[in-house]
Amino acid sequence: MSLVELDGVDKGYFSSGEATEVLKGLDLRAEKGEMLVIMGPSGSGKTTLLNLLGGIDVPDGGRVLIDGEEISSYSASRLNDFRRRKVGFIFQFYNLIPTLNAKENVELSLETVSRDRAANSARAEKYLELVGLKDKMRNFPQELSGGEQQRVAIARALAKEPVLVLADEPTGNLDGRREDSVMRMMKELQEGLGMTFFIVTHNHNLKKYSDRVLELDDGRLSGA
Amino acid sequence: MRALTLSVVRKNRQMKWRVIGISLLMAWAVGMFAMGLYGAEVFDASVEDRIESTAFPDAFVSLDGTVDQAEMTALMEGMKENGTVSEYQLRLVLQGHYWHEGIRHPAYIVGLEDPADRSINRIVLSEGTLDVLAGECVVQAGMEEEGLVPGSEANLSVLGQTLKLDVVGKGSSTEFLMTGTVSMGGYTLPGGIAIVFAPLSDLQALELGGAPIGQQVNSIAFLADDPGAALDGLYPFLAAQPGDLSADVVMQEGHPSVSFLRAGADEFRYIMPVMSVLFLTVGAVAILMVFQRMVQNDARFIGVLMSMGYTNREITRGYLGFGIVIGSIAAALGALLGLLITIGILDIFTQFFGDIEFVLPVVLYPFVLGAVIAYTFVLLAMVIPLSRLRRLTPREALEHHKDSRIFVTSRRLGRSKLSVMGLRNAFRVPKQTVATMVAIGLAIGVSGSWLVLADSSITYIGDQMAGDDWDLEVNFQAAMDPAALNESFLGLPQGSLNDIVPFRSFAGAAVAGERQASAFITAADDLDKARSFSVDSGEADLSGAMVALPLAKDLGIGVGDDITLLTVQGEVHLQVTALLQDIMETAVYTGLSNLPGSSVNGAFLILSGSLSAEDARGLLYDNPSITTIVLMGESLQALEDMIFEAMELYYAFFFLNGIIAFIVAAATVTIIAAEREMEYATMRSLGISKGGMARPIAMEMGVLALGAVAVGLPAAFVFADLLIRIYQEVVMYFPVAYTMFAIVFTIVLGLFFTMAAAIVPIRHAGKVDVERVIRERTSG
Repeated sequence: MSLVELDGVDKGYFSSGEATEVLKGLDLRAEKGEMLVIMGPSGSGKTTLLNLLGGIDVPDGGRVLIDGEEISSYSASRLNDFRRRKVGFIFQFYNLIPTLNAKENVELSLETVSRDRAANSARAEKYLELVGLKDKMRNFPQELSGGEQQRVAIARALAKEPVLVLADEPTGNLDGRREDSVMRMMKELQEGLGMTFFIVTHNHNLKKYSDRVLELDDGRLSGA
Repeated sequence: MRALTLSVVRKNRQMKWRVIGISLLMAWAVGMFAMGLYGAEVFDASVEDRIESTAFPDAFVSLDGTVDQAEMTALMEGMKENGTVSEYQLRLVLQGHYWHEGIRHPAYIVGLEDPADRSINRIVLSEGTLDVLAGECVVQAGMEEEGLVPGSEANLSVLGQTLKLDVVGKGSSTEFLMTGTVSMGGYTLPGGIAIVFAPLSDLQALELGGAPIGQQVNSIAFLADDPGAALDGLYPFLAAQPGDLSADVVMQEGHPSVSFLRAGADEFRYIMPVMSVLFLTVGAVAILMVFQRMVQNDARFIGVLMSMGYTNREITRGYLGFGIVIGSIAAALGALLGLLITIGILDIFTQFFGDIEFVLPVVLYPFVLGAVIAYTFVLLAMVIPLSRLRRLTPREALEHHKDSRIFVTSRRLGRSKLSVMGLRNAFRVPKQTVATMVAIGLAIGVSGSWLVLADSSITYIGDQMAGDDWDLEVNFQAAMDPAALNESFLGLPQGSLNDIVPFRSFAGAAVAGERQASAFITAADDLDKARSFSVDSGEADLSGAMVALPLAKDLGIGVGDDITLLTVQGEVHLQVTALLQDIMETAVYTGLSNLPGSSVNGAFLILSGSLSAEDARGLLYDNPSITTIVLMGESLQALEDMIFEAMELYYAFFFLNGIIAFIVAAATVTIIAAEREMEYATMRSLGISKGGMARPIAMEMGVLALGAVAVGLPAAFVFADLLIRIYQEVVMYFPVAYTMFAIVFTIVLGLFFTMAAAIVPIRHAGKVDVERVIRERTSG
């Protein structure tokens, strides 16, 4: 059984009184430990696909199965629980909480699954060490560079060891050198921890880190 | 501490000035609320304590003539034996003057069998002794600056004779606690009255009409379970006395010492909580606005939390921390403020009303209730933004962008781009602008309402006094035949008077149907020569009874209804001819011929102009029949001073609340400043000076201030009307006055305090870190 299964998934939105079909009968399979890069022009539905995989949005038709659970039929509260246990998000703009330091940002995510403060603290430190920020754990987001902020965001997504990591333009705000450093680190973690990564990007340079590249155009996938 | 809680705590810390500002506003509201309820408890407890500890009489009967002491003693002893009264005190109370350094002060000289008597109307000793011998006296505290202290000699003139007594003690009699509010001819006058307690025999030795007064008394005080029954026993005796003896009857509840404190308690109990609710509402609106923007600005972070699996409930709980911080500061600080303000106001009352020892009872409910109400208002204010938060889906939250659509007008608003920017900025988000104007306007309204309240009362009293056409009022030691009152009797030169209006005035009771109330009755046949009336309904006609509005309300009567006046000589049945707006809330005016007998105890004198009021007073002093002389001009000034002093507190509230309007304005514009950080940074990067940046902000604040004042001015009158309605119920009657002073001051100070808030965004714009803002904002 694949970790991710999408069967005939449709998704559309109403915008300015007009219906727009974003995803049309999408089928997709992804195995545990894969790193997939999804590319496509703006408005092709890349972020919508990521939202459906992460249970942030629900499809209009078809099925979404993650790790054997059909999340497309879940209620809002079950989707919430699903996100807690199985998904980690990495955003283009990092989205760190500015009032929490690096370690606390990671702990914030861990506290959704465990109340064991000592364990959460140890795990946050471990993952910040993994992303190379051992010395900057007490720094607040505004005291970190863009690359460092993104590494904190990655540590935050991975620390609770989800089965699925969803990254939306994770290097969109980084220069070439930092982009390479972040992607190499994500690849190492993916291989080491056996997590499945979906990376949405416009950036063709990221293809080299992927196990598979999918092209999304006009709501349909090629290479799936 | 959990990371989510920590983030909220730190967010609060980042917004510390806003949190402190709103917390202070809510604390002030809680403080006023607690002060209202606690102040009322203090007054009530103090009155009860004072009544209990000094065996304050249930009724005082003052006669305008004297009765035989032995006969009166026999009557009272009889009533004591059959249980009608439990204790009684017979006194001879004379009015005269106390001389100090050539200045004459009004004096009440109270002759007592034993000033040290503890069974009734006890004097609380503060210095010296209460055991007086012949030629000695005890004085009421409050005239120390005028030389009345133990060890001094009280130089008195009474009934045209000199009476010198050695002061051996100083104390405080509950009966004369409000020495500053001793009634004179219907008006109350502040301070400066000497109250002297002397041996009864010393006063009885004084001469009246060429012979010693002898074993006579003119005042009875008693303790009784049913004072009405005791009066029923007393009236036949008084009616059987020779002459038209009339009596002032003051029941315990109607005595100034009790009623003033009770009115104070009611003022605290009802007015302060109403004001606090207005404050709480303003605070709640400010919190609503701050929180609405906060949730809106935080939408993306809320989306991140949702993507991590945090439930809406958990996130909501985190944000509630904001309210809990504000609520907790408000509750704690408010309780402290409430206590401190109460103590401060009691201190003012002590200075104003005399020697009152306030009792601070241990009651927690005013503070607990205040805290509960603060939390409720804070949480209610958070309901709307929180419900918005709860409705957000993770996708909506993550995709949320601040409403970047702004309203602009293409109108040419000026030549300078900075000015155009300021004016357009004022309405770029119209809903927000209107909400801000309303929030600040409400705060200005609350502030202005105090000014309107104070100004209305002063205006009303001024108008009332303007209706008085008399120059001097004299009161006589004993009942007089009005026919005998002329210039030669009074000791004034021929032709010095235009008119004499004799009157009989006394405190009694009025009855209508089943209802009975205390009434201050003034009977005169030509009263319209001495004063005009402010008629609310009916016609000024002394053939019946003209009744003050509050008394009519108490009795449930209107024009054409029947009213019965209870006098010593019997009941007087009259028809109500007019309802009056009158400074004396229990006033009843009627013709002298409507009352039994024809004697009078006072007269209004209208001078012809050949003699000044001061000179006339100098001559009248020499008349031993006259006890008190009131000059219209001095009376007006004294009354205005007294009211102004009472209203000083409200003027202080006006300014304090103006500062709160500033806090509300500052709290709301701070949000705007934070939202425009990028614009400020851009302006700075363009090389615009700090002064240049201040200009659009000042213009925007000017527009906000004008809008806020436009809301605040009518709000001030609406709130004042609400306050005055309560005032009318619990303290005194006066209508709302639309005076230019109140209007102009509310506008000016409203503009000033709102414009002052511009300092917040101006400082913010001036201090913005251009590099940091541009880096942060452009990198997400």
